[in-house]
Amino acid sequence: MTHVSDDVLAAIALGDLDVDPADRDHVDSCPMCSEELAELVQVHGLLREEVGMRGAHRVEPGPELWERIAAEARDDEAAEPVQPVQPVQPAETVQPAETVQPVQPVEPVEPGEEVPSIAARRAAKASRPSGRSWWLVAAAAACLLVGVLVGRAVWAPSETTLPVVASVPLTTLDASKQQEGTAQLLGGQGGQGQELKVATQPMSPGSGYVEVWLINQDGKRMVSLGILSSDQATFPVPPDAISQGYTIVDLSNEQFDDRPQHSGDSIMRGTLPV
Amino acid sequence: MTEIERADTGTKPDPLALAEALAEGSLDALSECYRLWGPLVLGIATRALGSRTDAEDVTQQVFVAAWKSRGTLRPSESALPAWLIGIARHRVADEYARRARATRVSQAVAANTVPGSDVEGRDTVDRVVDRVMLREAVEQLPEPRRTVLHLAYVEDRTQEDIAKQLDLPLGTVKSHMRRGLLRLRQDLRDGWEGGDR
Repeated sequence: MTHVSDDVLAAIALGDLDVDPADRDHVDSCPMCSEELAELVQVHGLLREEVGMRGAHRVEPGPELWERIAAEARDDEAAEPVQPVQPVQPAETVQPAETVQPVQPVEPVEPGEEVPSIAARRAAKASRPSGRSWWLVAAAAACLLVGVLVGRAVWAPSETTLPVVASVPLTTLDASKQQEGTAQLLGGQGGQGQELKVATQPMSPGSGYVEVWLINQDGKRMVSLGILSSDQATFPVPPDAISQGYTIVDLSNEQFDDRPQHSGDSIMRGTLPV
Repeated sequence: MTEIERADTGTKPDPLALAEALAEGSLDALSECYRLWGPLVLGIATRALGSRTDAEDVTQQVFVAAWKSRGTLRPSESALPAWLIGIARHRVADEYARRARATRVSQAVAANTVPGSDVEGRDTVDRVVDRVMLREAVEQLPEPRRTVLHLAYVEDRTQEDIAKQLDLPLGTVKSHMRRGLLRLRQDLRDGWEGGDR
């Protein structure tokens, strides 16, 4: 038997009694239709919880809230004139593309390619199948930007040029797993002289600061690598830490308090594939 | 600075132009986003957190974070609300985590263990966001479908009741309910995946 129509599935979800028993039987025995129905039932159930919630889903802010936001935004503007959507021109000092580690771009993007302009992105979007998640693309653009930045830093004359041994996206711990940064393990010989390079999107730790940790796979031990005071930094890794299982990179919000240990407030995390 | 084009009504700017203007660093664009979706973000935060003060703090964080990470926004017709709601989800979850920590601080003093993820908090955030987004989606339905679903869900009225009140055949009300439910399911999927409408 063919699958039942969306219309019939919706009728079942709504508890309509007029549904053809044959259709019900099919849905009961068909995993695909059952799944669709379950989704509709979930939406129906969520909406049923709205009974009595008249007009409560939007709340008008007072006028002062915008002033607070605007003030903070202007401060940020003054502190750091960001031009994030400008194409990043590869500097002449940047080495050939294969030495720049693109940090797991979601879409195949040439590492040497410029960050696409908005017009280019729009054109690209037009040619893409619909339904593609915009954030994947945004993430790809962000990765590329980070990749270029990391690439630049790696090849700045004052920096070391350790090879990248492993890299991992740092994602938030909630269900959305949004990528907000990347970590790269830069290799030394036999676990000695390794470094961890961390790059993130701009963060506001509020009244505290951001600390970088390596957490052991055993889920119990951890070492603090140091404080992340800008969008990227490189930290020495204790010898043999990686081989001992300290492979989970974790960034935490910390307050100036009497508790030097991990606050428990993890911002993002990723496990180095080593 | 990009001029934000407004449609004929003078109230709704072109979403794509707005997204582009924000990505290019227009504070006016942020202001417009705030005007359009600030109440929605504050609605989510208020429902999720209960406290108006905390909700306003979170809303402030959301729009400041949006401003600071505007470079990661890929302008499209539908990107802005999904993006802002995504940020709001995070900030509310952060606030839940902060509260959870505050309550278990005494147990945690000696233990330097891996911080657990707040599964309950996450569920609650997702549920609140989904419900608010669904409510918003109901409001965006064309009439009379919007009224039909509003009466059915928010006012808890029977379909017969709705048919009588709106002077519509019962079959038409049922049809609006089915199509409305399917539309909302799609909206929620888009909200989760951030896809195009």
